Amino acid sequence: MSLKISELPLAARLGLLALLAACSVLSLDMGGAARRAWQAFPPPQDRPLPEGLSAFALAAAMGDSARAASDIGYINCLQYMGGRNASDGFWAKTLPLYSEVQWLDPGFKHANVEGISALGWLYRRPLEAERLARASLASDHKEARYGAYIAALAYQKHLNSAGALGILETEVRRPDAPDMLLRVVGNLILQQRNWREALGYWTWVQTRAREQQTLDMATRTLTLIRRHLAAPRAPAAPTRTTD
Amino acid sequence: MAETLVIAFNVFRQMLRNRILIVLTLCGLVMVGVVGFLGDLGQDAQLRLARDFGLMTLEAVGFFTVLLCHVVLLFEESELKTYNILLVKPVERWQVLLGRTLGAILLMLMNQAGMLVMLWLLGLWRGLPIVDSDLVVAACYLAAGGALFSAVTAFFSVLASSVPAAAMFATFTFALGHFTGNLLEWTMQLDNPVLIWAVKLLYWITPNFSLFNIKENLDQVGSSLQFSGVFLWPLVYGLCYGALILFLSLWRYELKDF
Amino acid sequence: MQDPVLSFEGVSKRYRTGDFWRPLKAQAMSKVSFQLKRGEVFGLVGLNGAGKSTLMKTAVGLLHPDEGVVRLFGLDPRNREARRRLGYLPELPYFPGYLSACEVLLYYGRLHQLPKAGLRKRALDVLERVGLAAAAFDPIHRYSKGMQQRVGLAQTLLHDPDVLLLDEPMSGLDPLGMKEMRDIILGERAAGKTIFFNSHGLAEVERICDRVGVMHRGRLVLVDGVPELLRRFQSHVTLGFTGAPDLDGRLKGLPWQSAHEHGLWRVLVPNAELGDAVRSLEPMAGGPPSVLSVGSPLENAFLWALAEEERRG
Repeated sequence: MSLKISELPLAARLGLLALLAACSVLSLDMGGAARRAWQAFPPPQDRPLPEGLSAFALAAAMGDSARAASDIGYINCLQYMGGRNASDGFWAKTLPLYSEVQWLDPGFKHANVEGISALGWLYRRPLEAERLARASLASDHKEARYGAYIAALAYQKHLNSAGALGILETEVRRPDAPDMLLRVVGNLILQQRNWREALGYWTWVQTRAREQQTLDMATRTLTLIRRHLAAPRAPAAPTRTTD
Repeated sequence: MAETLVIAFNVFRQMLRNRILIVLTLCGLVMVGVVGFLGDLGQDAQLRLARDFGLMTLEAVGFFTVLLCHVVLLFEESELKTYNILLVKPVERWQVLLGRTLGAILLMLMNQAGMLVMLWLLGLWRGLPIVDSDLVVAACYLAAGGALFSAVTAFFSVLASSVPAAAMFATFTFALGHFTGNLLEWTMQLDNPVLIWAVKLLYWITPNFSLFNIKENLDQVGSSLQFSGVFLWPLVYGLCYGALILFLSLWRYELKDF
Repeated sequence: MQDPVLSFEGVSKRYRTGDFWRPLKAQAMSKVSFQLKRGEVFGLVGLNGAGKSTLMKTAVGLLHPDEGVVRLFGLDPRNREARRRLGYLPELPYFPGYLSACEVLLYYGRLHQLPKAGLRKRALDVLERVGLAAAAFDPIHRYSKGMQQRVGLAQTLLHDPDVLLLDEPMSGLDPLGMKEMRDIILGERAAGKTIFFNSHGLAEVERICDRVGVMHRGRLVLVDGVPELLRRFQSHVTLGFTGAPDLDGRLKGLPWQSAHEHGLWRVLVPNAELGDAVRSLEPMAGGPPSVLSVGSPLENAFLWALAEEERRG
């Protein structure tokens, strides 16, 4: 049997085309609506653009590749923080870089929490950390962690490390807490000069840390703490270990 | 249909032996390997990065596989005239074009499956659950998008006057199909009704590859069974739009002079 | 009377030339009508660009005629049933280089729905017949042009078709290959197959064909049986001399057919009128004209047909 589209009556051909076109449009609209209802976050372009947004991030967001772009942005953040950027306004681009990641994918909580921790306690810029935390909360208001961080940052702004520590200690026990937070909380405990508590905390960090950098830091800090505990009268305690 | 499958398997076999496609397959496997280590750059977020980059690589290799497969076949058809023999065999032209489209899809599926297995092995080796059911679901939807792209490329391979033009149009449409996802929302910000309808028309006409992009919401896949529409409608859309564009291609192909 | 295997009725084909902004059309075939009878070998000859391949492609359904009707076994050439009985060898066939000749034949055999059981043996037999048994499993990209031509012929013979349409079958073949190709065509003819082929080799056509057609500028200007043409043109001599094309007017006044090509005038003269012709042509040639050929009657017929067509304008 010979079957040819070009030999079908024109009306049949056009009718079939119209039917397929109608089904395509219908399924596209239904699929689009279902997708919008399903997505945890609206598309990035529906959120306020952060300052200093790169063209790459904008194009990726428009081109439906925000998640991968946020991953690349996150690697950029880590590279920037690991680099020698003290002269660059003491890692001044940390906020724009983390804001870009947050804008691209508010669901990348690990990066957001890490950015807030780094800004608030590593670079001692609680105002910038609070901006990032508030932007994160605005995008993902169901996430209670951001509220906790904002509270901790409020203490930090008034140099009340104990108050900040009180909030962050709960956060740090979460299984998905970034290593950055582990180190931040460890430093805050050291600032309290409570060597017994510091010993317990850093020993726990050794079992929990994922990054080699954190493990090395825990080993170094524990040596220092044990030296303090062994000495009959401890000399002036380190207020903060190098990160 | 038997002849269509014979043609599809021949395309698949022929492409498997084509050096360009072999290099692409190997590149895909190497890229997956690199992705496993690229995740390490993300330190704590290693798993997320490995999964995201893995899926991204899967999509990219799928795109290039389909495109190159059609380009090679179109080159053979228009420049080397291999199809002058095939088209005189007792097969319909629609079977030839459909076979070509299916052959490209088969090759893409093989590449993607190979990469997925590689990713899984990498995860086993590194002790990371990179490949789980969510990632497999997302990969399946990428493959569905790739199948639609194969139909789109077949359309341009019939319509365009030269091989580079067909490749260029197909690539441009693929890129555009990722950008049109939010066009409907933009129409809400427009006042001019003509412009609104023009944008809507563009949204409906352009193949929408965003619909198949489950990987953007990978974390939600497992807990989204109640959102069946998210998974059902893309498939319906792919079938309808794919059939529509193939119908147009076949119609034109039947009337084409060789 | 038996139905013709292939028939053309007033078939015309124009190609699109020019570009997108200035589309032009060139006439490739004009009002062609002829019939290919069952069991005959028909040879089509003509200059380059005369429309021979266009006619061949139209006959197999690769081209769609703008006007007229083409019938293959009484059906549209695009009909699968018609194609099932057809073996077609295009000019300079090309096959996917990464497959072997055997794989190519198995593939086409499956498309012809030949029984799976004996397909491989059938493919190897055909390859042996065309002299490719030793290279049956080598990838085709290692084949010479002549070997590819043989693969092309093998795929036309594989399904034992009733009609063979061969577009320049001798092209790319060495003298031995040409002889083998001729033997195969004659073998198929002996087996009662209908064969239609085009060629530049007039001697081949004369040796193989029952009928011959001459194409010129898209028109089929002569169709006749080879024996008839041999009788008609046997006693002719082709005289030649160099001269400008503007001699056309003077030559038209003479009773003999003439044609101008590459600066050379050819004049077809019956043997009996040779003396008169030499005397008439001497003033134009600036001396006695040369005798170009006294052999191939088909060449004479070809030249006569071309000259007639030119005369008609």
